[in-house]
Amino acid sequence: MIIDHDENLEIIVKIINPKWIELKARKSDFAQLNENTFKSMSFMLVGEPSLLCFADSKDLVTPRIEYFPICIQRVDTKTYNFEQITLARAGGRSQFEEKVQWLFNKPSMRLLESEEEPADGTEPEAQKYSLRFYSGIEMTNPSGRGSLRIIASDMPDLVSYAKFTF
Amino acid sequence: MGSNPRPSAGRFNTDLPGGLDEAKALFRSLTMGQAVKTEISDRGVMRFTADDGTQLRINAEGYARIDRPDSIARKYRETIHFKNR
Repeated sequence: MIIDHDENLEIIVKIINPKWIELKARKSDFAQLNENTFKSMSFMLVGEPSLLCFADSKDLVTPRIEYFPICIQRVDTKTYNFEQITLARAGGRSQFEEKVQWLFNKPSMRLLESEEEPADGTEPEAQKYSLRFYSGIEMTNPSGRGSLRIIASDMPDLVSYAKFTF
Repeated sequence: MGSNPRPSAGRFNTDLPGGLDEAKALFRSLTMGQAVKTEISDRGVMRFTADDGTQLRINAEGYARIDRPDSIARKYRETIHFKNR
């Protein structure tokens, strides 16, 4: 069993008390896949603190494989240089924004774990491994229905998906 | 295309000798005549994507890999690692 749990993510999820005012997506690779699901190279929750969520690329040495955990970083929005699209704002009045206002009212957060089973070859005797890492983050409405999952994906590489449930 | 295939989530990781220069040369050869979109991730990974989905990724340390979608690699999706780092 190989466990690659990023302690920085665990600290962020444990200590921050989110007070967000906006959800943004980077324009690169942006697409709205359906009413509830967006794809982008990164998503930003703007506020105190602002968090940037995106797919990272990491290599295991044995077996040498590439995998794609979620990365969550505190960012200074004033120095962020990539073009973004606003998906929702606190107090926004569109039908979609009204459905996701819980996101701006101190949501709960937890990390989502993925497990992969790489092997060091294709022969029957090849050694199989079990790799666990954090692939996403989930924000939920602590006082009712509603969640947002931001998931790193390797299909295609280095994109993330933001999926709401209502 | 590469050697020593190692399966992981939906793909095979393989190896080719060489480093960044060899990865760039192979990518140019595989994608000749196609438009290539260039982007940089929030972590500093450079990603070059050709029209057919073939991708060259170079991380901030200069490590390179080429990704070939299953439609190109035919049997399976392949991530080629260039071993000389």
